This record gives sequence, structure tokens and C-alpha cells, in this order.
Amino acid sequence: MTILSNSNTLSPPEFIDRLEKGLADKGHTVYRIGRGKCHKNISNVHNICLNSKVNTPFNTLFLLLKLALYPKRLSSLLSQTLKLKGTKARINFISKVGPVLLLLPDIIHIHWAPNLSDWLFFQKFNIRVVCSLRGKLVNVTPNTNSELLEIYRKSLYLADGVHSVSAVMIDDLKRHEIKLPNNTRVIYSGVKNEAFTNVRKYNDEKRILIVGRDHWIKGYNYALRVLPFLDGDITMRFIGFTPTKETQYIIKILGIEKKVVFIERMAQSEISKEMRSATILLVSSVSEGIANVAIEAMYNRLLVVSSRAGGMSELIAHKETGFLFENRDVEDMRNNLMEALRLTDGKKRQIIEAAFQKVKTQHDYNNMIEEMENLYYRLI
Amino acid sequence: MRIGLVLSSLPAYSEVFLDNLINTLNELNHEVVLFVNKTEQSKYKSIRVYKIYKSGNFDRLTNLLKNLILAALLKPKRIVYVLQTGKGLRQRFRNLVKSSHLIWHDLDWIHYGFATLAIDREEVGKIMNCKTSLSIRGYDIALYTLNNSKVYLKVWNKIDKFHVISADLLEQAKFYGLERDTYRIIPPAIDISSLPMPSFKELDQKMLFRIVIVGRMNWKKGGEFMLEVLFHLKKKFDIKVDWIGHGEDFERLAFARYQLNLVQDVTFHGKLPQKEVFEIINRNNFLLHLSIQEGFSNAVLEAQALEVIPIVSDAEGLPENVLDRATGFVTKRLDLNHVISVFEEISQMDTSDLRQMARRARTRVVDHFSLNMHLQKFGEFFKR
Repeated sequence: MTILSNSNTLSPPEFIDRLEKGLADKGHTVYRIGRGKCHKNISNVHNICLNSKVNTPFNTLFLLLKLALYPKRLSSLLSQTLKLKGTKARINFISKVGPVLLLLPDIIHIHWAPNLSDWLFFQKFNIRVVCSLRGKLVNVTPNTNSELLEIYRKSLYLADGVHSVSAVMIDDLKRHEIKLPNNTRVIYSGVKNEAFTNVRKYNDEKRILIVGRDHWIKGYNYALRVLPFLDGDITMRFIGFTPTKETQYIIKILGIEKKVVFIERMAQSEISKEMRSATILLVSSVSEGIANVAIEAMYNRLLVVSSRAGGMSELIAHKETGFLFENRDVEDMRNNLMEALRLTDGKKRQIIEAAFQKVKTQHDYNNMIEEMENLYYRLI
Repeated sequence: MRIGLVLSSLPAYSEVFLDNLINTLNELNHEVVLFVNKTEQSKYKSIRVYKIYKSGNFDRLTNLLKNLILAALLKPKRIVYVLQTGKGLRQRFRNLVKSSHLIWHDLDWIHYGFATLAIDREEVGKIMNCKTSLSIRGYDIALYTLNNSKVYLKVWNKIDKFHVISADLLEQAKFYGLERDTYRIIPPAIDISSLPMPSFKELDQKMLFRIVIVGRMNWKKGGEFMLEVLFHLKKKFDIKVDWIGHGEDFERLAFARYQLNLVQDVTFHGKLPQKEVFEIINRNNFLLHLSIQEGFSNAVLEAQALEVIPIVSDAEGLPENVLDRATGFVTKRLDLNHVISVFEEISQMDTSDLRQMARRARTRVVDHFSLNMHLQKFGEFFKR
């Protein structure tokens, strides 16, 4: 099977990267299309580079000449292009879609839903178009932007298949009267579990770990506000972002400078080490599909305390595989953190073992690849 | 006097205090010339605006060349003097670029609209043989010092006079090294005559909490926290909220409003003309202003002048703007329980006490924060 994976970038987020490489490892021909460093193909995933240096008018012309060998494809591209307004938009469209018309893969997988409508015309060529539901553009923006909501209403049901990273995302879209195709499946993100060990380092120091990019969606302001109300000597370690002025200032006015540590960048293997020596992973997000970092923490046998944002309750059963608190509720966050910190060793071990079993069955890497393959096979 | 007012850009929609400063200087019969880093179209017809650049690198280069040629022709020595300031060649050239639009002019006084704008231009006043002053505002002290607490040490020593908008900011400036006593606290002012008369406020228990929020949608204004407060308030009282303003945090706030089930209760009006802003403030009973960081706030002054009772946080200058329990309510910053308890207290208060408080607030604003007072204080400030 030939699969074109489109996440707009040649350096996709890790969960998309894992999926692409996993499918390639299974013997499928996988192409990745987007902007970014036009480096050589990594592993067996092939890159289609869309950088402006490559997309010169000359290259676009050359592409059109190549497509002239296939008149049906060319006329379809031109009629689609003429629907767009502005020369720049048209050239961009041709350079984005043209290489794929030469390729004609079996499956086009669009990872960010707003882009879907650009690719639906490939269905004319018997190519199946699959769209993923993931991220802020599905979780947040439809609730605040009626234009995007309308785009989803007009396009999502036309996809041949839809993949969602959590069940709650499907429910949310349905609540907004967005129709989805029959082939809509929840396929949970998978993590390679051989990377993890069950060896944990126990410290006297109580460390709450927060891992993630710098975005308001992650609810770090709520996490910071809870810190003065936690009893005992507790530090919060933020991994993956440089503190913004907002974060710095909140820390200053709350007087918690000595209780927070920021580590801007860290390799995945180092994050796993951090997880093995932390006490709790806190997911303070106000919106999430299912936080990959929580899955990794559970594999690392680290206790997770999370908000009930998005699909987190599909991962965590309260007090069985972790702790859940009400979204945007600092007091409830504090109560759950305190309860988690006061767990007896026996109870804690019981929860983290249950959590480990949960991710092992629900978020297995091989299962994810297999389920995605099944979705594709069902369509072709 | 010919006063050069140095700003980073032309005053934006929400920077009424800068408009007021320009108008005040004009009223005082000074000739005001604006010096900005970057500008688009100027809204001031009678004021000359000089810039470092308009937009883009090419424009930056041509403007720099133009400014340097004019300086070389008119005041060549000043280029040499500026190049003697700062450590290292790179820093010296950077200083020259930052002052290139200034140094070829004849000015009596240079006033930096924000303290940050005087950094790397500390010596310019001496080089141009004119007096220098600056305004210390919330951003300068509260945020710019976060990464470098010594950033103003050189500035404090080289500038002649300091205007500070609140006593709290003055204390913070002293904490960051201001030792000189050539400062003057001049809080922002509002033009009372541009406001409508305060309307009669229905303060009956049924619809007591008609609330207005005015401010740019960014983290400093504490928008997400205010929505959290409103969510808890809604559990106990009927509320109706008008929210005026727009900004980079719109999606963040719109999403919080959606998640907290406040879409029916909180109306986002976006950016409105001033007349409509006053109309909306005037039809509400309370102004909620729980900023995380705030220098002083003109919106809070305007609300008080319209007999709308402010409920504010204790950020920087706000407790000087609003006298707790005399002209409004001051709450602890980011303390949800405290804010809710204040609302509960208000719900128990007599209507007559609330009316009295609102009138007291208006009287205080008229007496202490009118443009006339402002004019008088700045008149004294800009005396040689």
C-alpha cells in the first residue's frame, strides 16, 4: 500500500512520526509531505519537500509539464486550482498537490482536519482520503470559531475514513452537528514499550513533573496556583518550555521561585529518566485528546494526576489507574495531588501497576499500527 | 519648549494614557515631536512623527541611511559622541541605530514614554544638550525586570526627572535601584467632560451583578481568572456580563467561556468606539478588573466617574486607583475564595451604601484624576 501522510511538516510531532515509521516498517511505501528541512529520507519514510526554495515558479511550471503526460490529472488539478482566489494561493496549491498527482497513492492521510477539503478531489482518482481528529484545531477552535465549525460541517463527512485519538473528540464534534463517515474509528496513540523499565528511583524530595510545550492549553497557570497550597517540601519541574513573562510573573507574585524548576529541552530518554525519579506527573491541561506524556508516564510507572480535560478519562480511571480532578479547578487539583502524595506504598504500587497494564493494552505501539492498517484496508 | 516624546510606536487603541500625555503637552503650549521605532499611518495631524523604520528590512535600511545622512550634515559631532557610548563596537552601533532618528533634531527636552525606551539611549540627552525625563509604567518595572533586575541602573543615573504613575511602582523602582529624588507621582487622568452623565443604577438584589469588563484580552488582565470567578459566582447569583476588548488571548478566553458554560451570561463585544464603551459601562453596576499586572488603569477611573463600582485586584497601582471599601473593592490577586467572599459581602450590603460608595468614587475621580489636575502636575514637571 502507498500512503501519503500530510501533517504540513517534514518534522512532525512524535506521535505522527511514530505512526509513519511504523507503517513503513510494515512494508508500506510511506511518503511524508510538508515544509521543513529537506533532509534525506529518514528510515524508509520518503519526503516530499514543499519549501519556498523548491516551489519556485520554474519548478511549478516543470511540474505542470510533467502532469501534461496525464491529461485527466492535469485538467482535474487545473479545475480545482481555478476555484481558488489569487495567484499565490493557486501556485501554492499546485506545488502542494501536483507531486501527489504524479504519485497517486492508495491512501492520503490528513493529520490536521482543517486541511481536509484541499485533498478531497483525489477521491476522483480512486484514492481514499483519511482524516485524523487530533489537537487544538479539533478540541478547541470549533468551540470558539464558527467559520472552522462550518468547514468541518462541509468537509469531514466526505472523508472516506476518520481516525480519532479519543472517543470524546467524536462525541464533541457530533454535539456540534458535524457528520462523520461510517468508517470512523478511535485508534489510541501507541508507544513502544520496550523503551521502559520498571526500575524506579525513589527520592526523599517530592517532585511534581510537568512535561509539555509552552501553550495556554496546558493550563500551567492553574498548576502554578496550586503550588502554594501543597503541604510539605514539594518542587514542580517543568520540562519542555522556556517560561513566558506570564509564567515568570505568576511565579513572582505567588512567591514560589524556589519551588519551580524549568528545563527547556530534554531528549526523550532523559525525560524517561526524569519520570523514573519523579513522584507525580501532573497534567493540568484545559484541553487534551489523550496526553501522550501521561501514557509515557504510566509506562514508566509514574503516578499520573490529570485534569478531566478531553479524553483523559479514557486513559485514567479515577483512583484506579491515576487521579482525575475537575478541569480548571485549582482546589480539586490540590485535593487530588495531596491524596496522591499521601498514598501508602502498597496502594501506590497497586495504582501504577494497574496504570501500566492499562497502557500496555490500550496504547500498544504494534496495536496502533495494526489498527491503522485495518482502517486503510477497509477503505481500499 | 520643544519636547521630543520617545515611544516604541504610535499610541494604540488601549493606550489612552499616551494620548492624554500628548494632549496635555499640547495644552501646555509645548511643541511636541514624536519619535517612534516603528510606525504606520499617524493619526496626529499637527504633530510631526519621526521613525527608525516603517516596516521591513529595506525600509529600515533606507530610513537609517536618511537619518544618518541628516545627522552627518546637521549635527556630525553627535554621531561621534553616540559612538563613544556603550561597550564594544556592536553595542555602540546599536546605540547609534536606536538614536538615529533623534540626534539630528534641536530639542529642549526628551521624554521617554516608557523607562525601557531609555535603555541604550541614556546619554542622548547630554549629547543633545537637553533635559531628559521618563515615565515609569507597570510594564517597565513589573515585567521588564523579570530577567534582569539591574537593567535600569545606568538609566536612573543619567535621566534628569522621573514620572511615575503610582506610589507602588515608585517603591518597586526604588527596589530596582532608583535612588534619586527627582521623581513625581502623576497618576493617569481622564477627560470627565467626554463622559456621559452617570445613569441611574438598578441595584436591586434580583439583577445586582450586572458586570462590565473592559480591557485588552491578554494574560496581564487576568481574563481566564475572571471567567473562573464568574463561573463560581453564577452558582450563587444571577449574573450578566458585558466584556469589551479584544486581543491575542481571544481564543483562550472564548474557550474558557465555553467550557465554563458562560456563553449565555458573558457577551464579548470586541473592540468598540469610545462612545459605545462608555454607554456599556454606564448601564452596568460593577466593573470587574482582576488584573495580574496593572500599572493604574484608565478604564477603572472611567467606571468610577460613571458611578460604576469597581471590583479590582491588588495589582501594582490598582489599590491607589480604588480605595478599598470606600470607592470600590480591592481583592487579593489570583485568590478565588477572597474574590467570591467580596461578592458575597456586596450582596449583603444596603443599596444606599452602594450608591454612596459609587458617588464617593465619582467625586474622588473628579477631584483627583481629572485632566485639569493632570495638566497642572505635568506643567510643573516640565518646568526647567
